[in-house]
Amino acid sequence: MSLEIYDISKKFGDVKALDLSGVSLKIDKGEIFVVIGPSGSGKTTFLRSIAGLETPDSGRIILNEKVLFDSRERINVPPEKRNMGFVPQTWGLWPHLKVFDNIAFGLNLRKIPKDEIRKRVIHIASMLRIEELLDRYPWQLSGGQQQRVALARALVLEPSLLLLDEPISNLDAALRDEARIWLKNVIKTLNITALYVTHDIKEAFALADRIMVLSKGIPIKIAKPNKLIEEIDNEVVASLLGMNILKGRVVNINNDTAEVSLDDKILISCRSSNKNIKKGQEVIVYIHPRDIKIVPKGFDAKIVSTIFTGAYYEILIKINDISIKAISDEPVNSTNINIVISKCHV
Amino acid sequence: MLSSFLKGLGFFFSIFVFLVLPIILLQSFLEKPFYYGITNISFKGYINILTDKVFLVSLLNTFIISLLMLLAIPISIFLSIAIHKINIYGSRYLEPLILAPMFISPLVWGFAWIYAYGKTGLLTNLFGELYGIIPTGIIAALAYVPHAYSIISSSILNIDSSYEEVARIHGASILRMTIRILLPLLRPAIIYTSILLIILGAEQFGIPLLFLSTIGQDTITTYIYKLQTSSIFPPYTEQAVLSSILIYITSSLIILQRYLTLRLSKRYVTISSRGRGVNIYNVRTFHRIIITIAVLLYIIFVIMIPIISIVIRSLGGAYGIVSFTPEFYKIIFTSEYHRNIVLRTLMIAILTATLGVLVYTGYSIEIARSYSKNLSRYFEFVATLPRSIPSIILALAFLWIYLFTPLRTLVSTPLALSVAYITAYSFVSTRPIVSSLIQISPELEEVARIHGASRSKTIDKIILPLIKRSLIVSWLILFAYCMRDYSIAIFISFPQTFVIGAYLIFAYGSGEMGLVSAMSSIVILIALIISFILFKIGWKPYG
Repeated sequence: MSLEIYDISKKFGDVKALDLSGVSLKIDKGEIFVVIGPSGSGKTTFLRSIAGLETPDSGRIILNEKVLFDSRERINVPPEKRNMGFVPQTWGLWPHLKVFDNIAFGLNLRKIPKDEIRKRVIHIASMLRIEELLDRYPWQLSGGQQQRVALARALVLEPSLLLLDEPISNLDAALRDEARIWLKNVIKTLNITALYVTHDIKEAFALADRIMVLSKGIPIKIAKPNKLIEEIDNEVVASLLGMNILKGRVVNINNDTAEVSLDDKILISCRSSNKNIKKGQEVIVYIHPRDIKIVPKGFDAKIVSTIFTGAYYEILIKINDISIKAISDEPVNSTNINIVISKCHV
Repeated sequence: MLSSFLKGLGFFFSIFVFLVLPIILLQSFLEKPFYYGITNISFKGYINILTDKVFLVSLLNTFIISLLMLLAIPISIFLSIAIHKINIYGSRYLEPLILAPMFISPLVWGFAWIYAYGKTGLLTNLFGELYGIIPTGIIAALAYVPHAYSIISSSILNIDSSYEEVARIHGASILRMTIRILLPLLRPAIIYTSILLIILGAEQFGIPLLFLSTIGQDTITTYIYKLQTSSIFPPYTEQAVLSSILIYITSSLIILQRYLTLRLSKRYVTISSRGRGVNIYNVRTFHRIIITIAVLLYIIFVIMIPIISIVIRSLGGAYGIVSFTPEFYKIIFTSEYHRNIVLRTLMIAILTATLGVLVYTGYSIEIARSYSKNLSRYFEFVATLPRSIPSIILALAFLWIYLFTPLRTLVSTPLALSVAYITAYSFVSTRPIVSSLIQISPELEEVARIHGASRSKTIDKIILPLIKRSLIVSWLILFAYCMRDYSIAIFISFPQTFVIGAYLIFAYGSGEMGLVSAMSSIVILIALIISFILFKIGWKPYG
């Protein structure tokens, strides 16, 4: 077991920034745990509470069986004694120190012999392919290089927990895609436990072993990425995934499938993870744009607009009074089409 | 159109900036006063001065005071960290007290120290002898702590919090993080402020006049003043040489300051974070109490006691005798001579601030919004050049202009002083206007232009209403600078321009200590009221 978090909560004035009361969370050694949520959802407060930069109002945090924070026992280990590594959104490379000294900073504080420091810095630098940058200042590096240095500075400490706060959001799109794969490989190779905060769903899916969705400081869902997609039962999760969120009425229930009528005219079969729904009940239906196929037969639908994103077409379809977003690899020319919904969630 | 009028006014006043330097530099190479024409060009003046023993001692004294001014740096760093990072108890109330002396003149500050810690002060010789080169430097440094504090604070408040957070998480305690991360990150601000303090040290006039000239020693500035008062026909060439030497020193330092700041700003540029605000250090309660006490001691001994002492003295209390009487105030407000000085000072300050804000708005619009890069550079030069001319030299140049050119008609009007003030203080009062103009998105103007407004109309109807607050700030700052001035007033002191600053030096010279303390108290009160209004409208000396 690596990191354990129990019942932590934090208020700023009267505003609840984080509320994990009743939640116990265990993050395994080597696991990449991603916290995702819209801005103001409390994800950064969560990370800062684990780091010791914020003091939670209540709860308990344990790392490798050492209690870091316990509101009842009044234990609060300061950040510098928690043995963590941190890569902030802006990378926070100290401009007055060369790359070598940036990476060696934490090792120097731990009073490690100079030779050993040099060995470890060079080792991590060669692993992250930045050994030729050691003699430069941060302002002489590109964005991608700065990000690698920031990661090296955290990893060289062999931290019990690696904290990453949107570390690739400042990179341009092409570098970001590459950085996701690269980052995951490094963390997995070193078998380090990582807590990763982001608002980007693509990043979360690419990196996470498990994802926690936060909204207004409350964890809405904690699940593996595939489970998160399979069992969508929440509007916040659905909107993070870019899904269609529609109102409907249950017409029939069959095991874990519910037949739902949209607008009292369109009937669709949806997967339901909620055992308590009843016939006639008003429900919210979530449909991923990818699960909508445009075919010759089906409903009577009209295309309102088509936008080419570079990789696929985003098509806005109107069926009676309902607007639905679909994704297609091919452009659709006719305005009157029919659609088939292959998968939906209630 | 208002904007065209302001631009014209700006152009007109910029002429004065270009008159000052040539007149001083030219005179330094002439054997006879410049009004005899450009004849007998020689280095005689320079040779006389450079072989003059008094000059060499004055130069050394100036150098020592400049170095001692650097004492303001550690004090300002400590105060800034205490207020912004440690968030000491009552920091919201203590900060205005730290900044309060900003608008009190060094001369009045010097009087306050004499009344507090001088031979006949409230706490007699608490810190030992006040006269001499070392005390002069220390008192001058303490007078400029508010200025240094503003610059350091601005830098501290702009540091990306992730630098400190990473250091903490990677194993640094608060003290280590402060020493190894925070202080090095403040390096650009420290270097900038250090050079500024050295320049201010070289320009010091009031404090050396009180604590050094009294014991027969001089700095370059007091030496220039001494030559001025030594005879009816002062040695113009020697005065000009001394002034030129001071200008060479201050302008080289300003160039060095610009070069270093530009070089460092490139290195220290960072990606801004999400604006989480300033990272407050979570120090232990005991440490917070100790640091709060240290700040309180600074405020009590450096700011409160001197101010209280001067007020007590003005009410007749001295030598530990408490016999309060409003006698000195009665004299000031009943005698026509004294009352006129106060009213004249207020009137000139109001006139200067009003006219000055119009001129500076003209400068600022061209600096921030001109379509012509050259025009923008011209006004930026005009607004910043007076920074490199110590005010006593600027005053000397204006005195010569008024005495020996057709502009002498101005001498019989308060405008003589106003024009000199507007030229001297452009760099302090233009800044708030320019920075608020820069903050206005160009789109606001572009929309107005596309929707049919001319450039002048856009400035009148869109821009000026949006910068109203900074115009008020600029007005108040200029008013405060006029009220606190003594070094320009002492040179341009004609019947129509004889103001409190000049009066204080003359009255001190003739030993009217009670009246000096009462007049100083009035100036301090006005300075504090202006600070209070500025704080109330949300102004801070840092961004």
